[in-house]
Amino acid sequence: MEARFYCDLCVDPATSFCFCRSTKTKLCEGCFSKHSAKLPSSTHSRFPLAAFKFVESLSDLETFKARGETVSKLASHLDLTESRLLQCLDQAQTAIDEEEVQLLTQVKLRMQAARQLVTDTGKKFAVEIRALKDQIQQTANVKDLDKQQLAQALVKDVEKGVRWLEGLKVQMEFRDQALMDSEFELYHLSMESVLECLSHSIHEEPEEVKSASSRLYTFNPYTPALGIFSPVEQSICLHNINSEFELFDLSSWVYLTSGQLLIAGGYSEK
Amino acid sequence: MRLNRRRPGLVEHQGSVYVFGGYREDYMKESERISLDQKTWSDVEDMIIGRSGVTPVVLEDKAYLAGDGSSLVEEYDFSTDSYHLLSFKLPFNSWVTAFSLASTLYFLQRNVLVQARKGASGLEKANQKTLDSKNWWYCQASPVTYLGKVYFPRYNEIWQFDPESLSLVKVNEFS
Repeated sequence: MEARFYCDLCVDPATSFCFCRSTKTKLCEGCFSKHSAKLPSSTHSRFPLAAFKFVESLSDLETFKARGETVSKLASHLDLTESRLLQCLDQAQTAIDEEEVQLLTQVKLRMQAARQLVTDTGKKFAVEIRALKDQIQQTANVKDLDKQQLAQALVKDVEKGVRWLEGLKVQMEFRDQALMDSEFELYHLSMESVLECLSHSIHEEPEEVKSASSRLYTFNPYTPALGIFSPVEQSICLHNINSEFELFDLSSWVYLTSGQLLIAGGYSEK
Repeated sequence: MRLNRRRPGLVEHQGSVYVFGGYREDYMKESERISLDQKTWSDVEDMIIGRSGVTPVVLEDKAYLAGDGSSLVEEYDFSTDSYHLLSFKLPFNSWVTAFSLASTLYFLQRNVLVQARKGASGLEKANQKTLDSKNWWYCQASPVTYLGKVYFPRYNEIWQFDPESLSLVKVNEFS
């Protein structure tokens, strides 16, 4: 069951506390001014009741306030980053919509052109077939042509027709390929603008947020224990580098921008 | 490294780590650097004064070097590989922890804090304060700045420096 705290001056539920004396005074909304008036010579500050059980001394209060400020700063940076990302998302969506419209227009135009080509080709093909048929008919109608000559004339005209059809097929394949390449190009350009926008957003990190990930590294001499201190959490975690590693006494080290630790110098009595 | 040394001063600058001075039988002037890309060591001009326990601090493409060996500070120019001995003087000839914050250099020496800024003749003292804390020596590792406060290690202890109140507080330690 959740513990309830009550105002030290009345029976209402407490909402804050004051640390003006060596003991903490729990107060409700209405009693803070009474409490301040009762002890006019003390310095009064209201702190949220949520901090009550964690604060035992004035230095705890300072830590509590400092951590509160840190959290507020990080929260405001997160808000800023979120609004930037949302703005970027809007820009990306607009860019995608615009590219989609352009792409659809291009595809529509190219489909129209392809349909026109097929229609024109069909008409031309019909004319060629008719001409070929007429030529064969005329050849067949020549009465004094012997069978051998007739066969040679028919073969010659049929070969001409096949060559024309093969040429048409190659031309159509080429146009199909060109259409596909063009679509790919449009899509590629569209994604490039979106990716650039996202990349720009990700790298625009506030300095304080960057430094929130910074760490301080320290060793105990003659041990493989690496202590990693986080300024944000004010805590240390220990890592053993490996059993063979031993930091010499009086060494120095520098944390590189690449994320590596460079250790130099020192001496060992072994 | 080409030369063995204790308590050298290390600093990263434009793809290289510079190693200044240190101690081997005597205070060392010899300095060198390693290219982080090629993993090769090369010579750097000797310091004017041999020093040990150096914490180099970089400001505007120059490194400021102080430490056991002299109370005078020298300025190293990365672009010309040359040193200039400044008239700026620290209170003691002893180890130093140094760092920069908002164009101000801070030198912690024994229990004294000295603030300095760049001036017409190199560095000019801006403030000096006696601290209510233990005697400081050199900082073995590069300090870290977070939300306006500077953190640095002293063996297994972590200390915090607040430039507003000019106070030093031990914030953590491990055993």
